[in-house]
Amino acid sequence: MLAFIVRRLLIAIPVLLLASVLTFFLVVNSGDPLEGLRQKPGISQQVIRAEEIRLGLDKPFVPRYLDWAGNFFTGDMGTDIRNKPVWPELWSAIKYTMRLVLIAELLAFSVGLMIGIVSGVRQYSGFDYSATFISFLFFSLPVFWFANLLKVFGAIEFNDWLENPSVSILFAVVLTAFIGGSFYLIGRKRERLRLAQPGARYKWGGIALGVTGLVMLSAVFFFEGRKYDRFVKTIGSEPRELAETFGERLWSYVGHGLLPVIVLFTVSYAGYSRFMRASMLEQLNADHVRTARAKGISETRVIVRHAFRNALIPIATVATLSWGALIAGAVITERVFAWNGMGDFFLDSLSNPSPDPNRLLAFVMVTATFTIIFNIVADIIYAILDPRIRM
Amino acid sequence: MTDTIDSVHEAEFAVEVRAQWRTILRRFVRHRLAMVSLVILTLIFVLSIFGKYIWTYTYLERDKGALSQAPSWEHPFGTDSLGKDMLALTLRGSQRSILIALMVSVIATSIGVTLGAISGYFRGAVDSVIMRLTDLLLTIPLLVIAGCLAWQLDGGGSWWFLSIILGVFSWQGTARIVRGEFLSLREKEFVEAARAVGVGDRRIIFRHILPNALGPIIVSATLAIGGAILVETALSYLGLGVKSPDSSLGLLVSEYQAAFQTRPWLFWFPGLFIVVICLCVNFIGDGLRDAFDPKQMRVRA
Repeated sequence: MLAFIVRRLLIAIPVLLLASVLTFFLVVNSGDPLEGLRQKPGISQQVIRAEEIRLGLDKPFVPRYLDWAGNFFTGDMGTDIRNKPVWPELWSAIKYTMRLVLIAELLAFSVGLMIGIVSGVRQYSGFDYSATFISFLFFSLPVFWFANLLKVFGAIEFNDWLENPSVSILFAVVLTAFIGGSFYLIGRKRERLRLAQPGARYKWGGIALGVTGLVMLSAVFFFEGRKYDRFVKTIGSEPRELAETFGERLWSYVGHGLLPVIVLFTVSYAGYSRFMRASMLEQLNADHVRTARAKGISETRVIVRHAFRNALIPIATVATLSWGALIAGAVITERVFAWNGMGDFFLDSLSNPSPDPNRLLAFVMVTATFTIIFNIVADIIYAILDPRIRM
Repeated sequence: MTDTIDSVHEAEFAVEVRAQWRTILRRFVRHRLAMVSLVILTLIFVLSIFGKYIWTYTYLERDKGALSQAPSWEHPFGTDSLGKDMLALTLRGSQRSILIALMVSVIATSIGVTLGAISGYFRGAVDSVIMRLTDLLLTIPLLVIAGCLAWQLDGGGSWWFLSIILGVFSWQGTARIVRGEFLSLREKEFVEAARAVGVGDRRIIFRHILPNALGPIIVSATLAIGGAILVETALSYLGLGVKSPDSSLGLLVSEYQAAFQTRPWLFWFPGLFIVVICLCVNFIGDGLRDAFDPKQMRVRA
């Protein structure tokens, strides 16, 4: 195992070096870093010349690359066009983005897997069709548009409601009728399919009607005359207000992170659920599952032990691929919600006022390094899960 | 189709191929969701191109008597604060976004098919080099690559340049799929037979293997259109893609997002168009995938 990991790490070194060449090529072609300086009035040629030498712009591609790579791989990311060191700011951006991305990814992974499994097991059921439609919708949702929608409906309108919360009687009645009715219909369908005892529709519908009715009724009285703070935040990555206790701080973090996490969740959820469904279907039609069923093993055990475990193996690939999508998603999400994360760092470096080579290089290299690390982790997980892979 | 082909059976083989395409087409036409999507998408595409000849207003025109109007019969999608007709703007934006996406898909598919075919057919060192290249390009997100090169678009109006950037850097998925197809097809008996009668590499690739790998290629080209629309609109939203005076659905969303609460129609329509176009493309791709599904084809063969 150790030999496998070491070998895998050694392969990563040339990939990282090549990635650094590609990165350098991209950044060299990202525009003139001194454009902002040149446009300032009263800047002498000497100052510009000095800046060119400081940033290495006077050198041709290869020596400039070697200079930068030598510094970079020994841990020096250099300074930006304002002569400030790059790393401290990037590090703080990485912390914000990782917090956002990891939580969203974890949620998408667990929810996507669960929905994918149920979709696969109950193929062509109403549940499967709805889950498929939602996945397709998430695949087709432009992140920037959805983030703006959430900002208005998930935050501004919701906060307005929190300030003066009330549940109208009409809404309570309609919702209760809707939920009760849906359960009645589900019960009727299951009766027809002989999956439920006759009369189940009245039992199901009745219970759903009663429970929802009670909850809505108590909500109508509960919110009467209460007031809350504007909880969901649309701007900023960090609580600015003073929070005394740990609980308050945590609550404030939740308020700031809620919407961005929902947005990034939609970015990677669809991939997991679709992939898990396909993978589950493949396993459920495989010979070993048929054998297991023929032996009389219970259906739950067949699904969990025989199908699910094997279906999990290809999911490692989705996890590594979704990192790139998440970074792209974070660039947009952080712009919409004004977070000081990596996406914001990137957009800022692109044109503020002119492209900042060392900041861009550092950002792209960090992104590429994370991708390579995730690929290695995925390979190792594959090797652990799948004994057919030679170590 | 795994039967060996000799000259006597050549004619029969041709008939077989056509029958196969007809089955695929029939299966696709039966896919109701995909057909509905195809109709909607065609409608949007045709309207976005010929809309200016039918519709009263153009996207540049200002109706000074109707500033910031809510949707009405006169202006079905409303107007902005300058009196520009939102329907005309949205159609113009869709036209740009769809054209860019189509071009990206064509470029990415051509590069991906070429490299994937070379890689899978010749294997060995060439394969390693090409596959390492795809790995390399997968380490940096497309949005970041395009963002770095975006300043070159500053002149405005060079939407084709944006498509070339996006196309040149998004062929990796197609290349991998095509390589996989070629790796398995090149071992088939009909390829062996062709090689035995002295058919050259190029003819084997184009005449014998490529037609059999068309299914996955068409599916991935279709799905690439959906992906390209999302990337292009996102870039335009961030100010890194299509720039005004040219128009794109992403640019429209970013221009009018501030007006969301006062004049919601300016925000809703361009965004909904992106969602509808992408949904249609994805459903069509799904229908095509079902139509090409080799598991269903085995029954026929």
